Amino acid sequence: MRPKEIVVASGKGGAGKTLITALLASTPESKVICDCDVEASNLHLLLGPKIESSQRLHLGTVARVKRDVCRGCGRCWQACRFSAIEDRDGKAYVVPELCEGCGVCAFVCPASAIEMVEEDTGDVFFGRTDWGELFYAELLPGRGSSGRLVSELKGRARKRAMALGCRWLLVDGPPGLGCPVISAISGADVVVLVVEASLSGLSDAERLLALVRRFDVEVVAVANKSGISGELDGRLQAWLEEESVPLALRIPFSPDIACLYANAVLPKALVDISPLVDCIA
Amino acid sequence: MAVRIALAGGKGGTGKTTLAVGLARAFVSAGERVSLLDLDVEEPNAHLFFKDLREVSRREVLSSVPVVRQEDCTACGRCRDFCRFNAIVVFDKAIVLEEFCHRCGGCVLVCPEGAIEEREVVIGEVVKAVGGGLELVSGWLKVGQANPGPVIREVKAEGVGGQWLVLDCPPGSGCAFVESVEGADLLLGVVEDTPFGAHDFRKAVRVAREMGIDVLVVVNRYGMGNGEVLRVCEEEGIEVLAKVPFREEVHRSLARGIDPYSASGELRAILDSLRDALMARVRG
Repeated sequence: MRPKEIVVASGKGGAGKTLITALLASTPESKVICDCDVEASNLHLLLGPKIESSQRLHLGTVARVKRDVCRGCGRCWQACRFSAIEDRDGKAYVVPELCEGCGVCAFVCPASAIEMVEEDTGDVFFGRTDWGELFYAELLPGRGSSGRLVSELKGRARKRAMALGCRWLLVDGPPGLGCPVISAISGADVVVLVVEASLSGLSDAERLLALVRRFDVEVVAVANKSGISGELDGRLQAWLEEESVPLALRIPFSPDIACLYANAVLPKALVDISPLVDCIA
Repeated sequence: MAVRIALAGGKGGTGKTTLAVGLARAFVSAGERVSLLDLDVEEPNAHLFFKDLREVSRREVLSSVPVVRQEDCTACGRCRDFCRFNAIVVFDKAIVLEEFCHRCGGCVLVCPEGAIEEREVVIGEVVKAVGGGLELVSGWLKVGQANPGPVIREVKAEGVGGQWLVLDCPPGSGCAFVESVEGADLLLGVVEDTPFGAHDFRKAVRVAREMGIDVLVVVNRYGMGNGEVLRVCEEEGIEVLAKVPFREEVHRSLARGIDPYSASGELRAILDSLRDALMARVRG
């Protein structure tokens, strides 16, 4: 049977995605765990995997100018849509952080002075935790291919979960709405929408839900850091009702939970995750 | 010449927006002209901390999407072979997969039939508003669009009114982060005192250094975690300009959208001294 693919997402950073993922991970359900926040991966710091393998991936390319061949005609910097090529001392210079590796500069160069070279994208790690196998990745700082790294990473985790016959593929999603998030959500069966009960948290969750609605996926919500204001909690609840999203779990704002978590201790005794598990299953 | 201060940190939810809004207001209270740029265009939040915003302009951000003129396409496949983002598939005609397209324009260049042209689509919005004595420019990526880069660039092009440009940057250490901090005079790392904050900040520091940007740090929620962030700063030779302690009452106020400069006397004093430290640094 195909494993159920559960993606934990929030839009806002720091809303509690990794906390919820780790709490779900610590349940007895058979699962493969995957941290898709490749720009800021934190789940492994909580789950403490024994790393069994790592692999450097090359998913993109970057332009390189042969300075001795370049005539400084400027066609490349005119053609580049990413402002990644500059005129330095009359010759082309590639700003690697801005280069998307599209190859347009190499195509337009009349002197064949630009070559496209393979770029290191990031490292994929595989390890074992007490609760299941964990896949995570570290995008190399500043690389532009985080979406592709997410797809590749999740593909590997999915394949492994199928091979093991697990019930769950549990995915910790990245913040935001852009390309890594779209890659993380695509293919999901359930999105666990973690809503921080704050003005910012609500605003970000509303935008994320609009994105999630473009996929054919079930959504369940968790309200985190709730109880700060009756008005905010009321708005959150009314909004979820209007959107027909069940609120599976409400975690109060608590300095005790925050302090344990801030020291990478999973606050299992303080949060009962079972209502969310029941809602997913 | 305006001074561009980028607030960033790697991890999300570390207090970047809180510090950006607070610092911007601290500059205003010292009589400085300030532009606050919300570059977290996927999830902009800075505007939520102002009660008196008056919108002065709003414009769309356009980006070109390749469109294949079906009648001219011979399905030769050169566009597909050129595209490094796998954004074109060819059956009996070429089809562009918009969500994978990076708008490089390569397919238009290589098509021997001239069958691909670009059409402008709206991918976001830039909103300029004034309030609280400053100018706030926010970018909004349209939901469903994958690439925030062009919207970030437009916000930066629009937000140039102040002597101080305070840049509220997106989380992460990938392309949105790079676009945001590009051209900044210094990166003020907002790092929470947790092992997570420390781990994610290391990556942001590496990018900033490769880009030749000076890094300074504000430790947020100081005293909550194990102080690992201070060890990272020491190892990297990064000066810690301020430590903001975790206060439950302040968190409650910020959650409700109270502006950080008014949320507590303690926080205001920290923001004022942070501002003074930055002014002293820049103006000598």
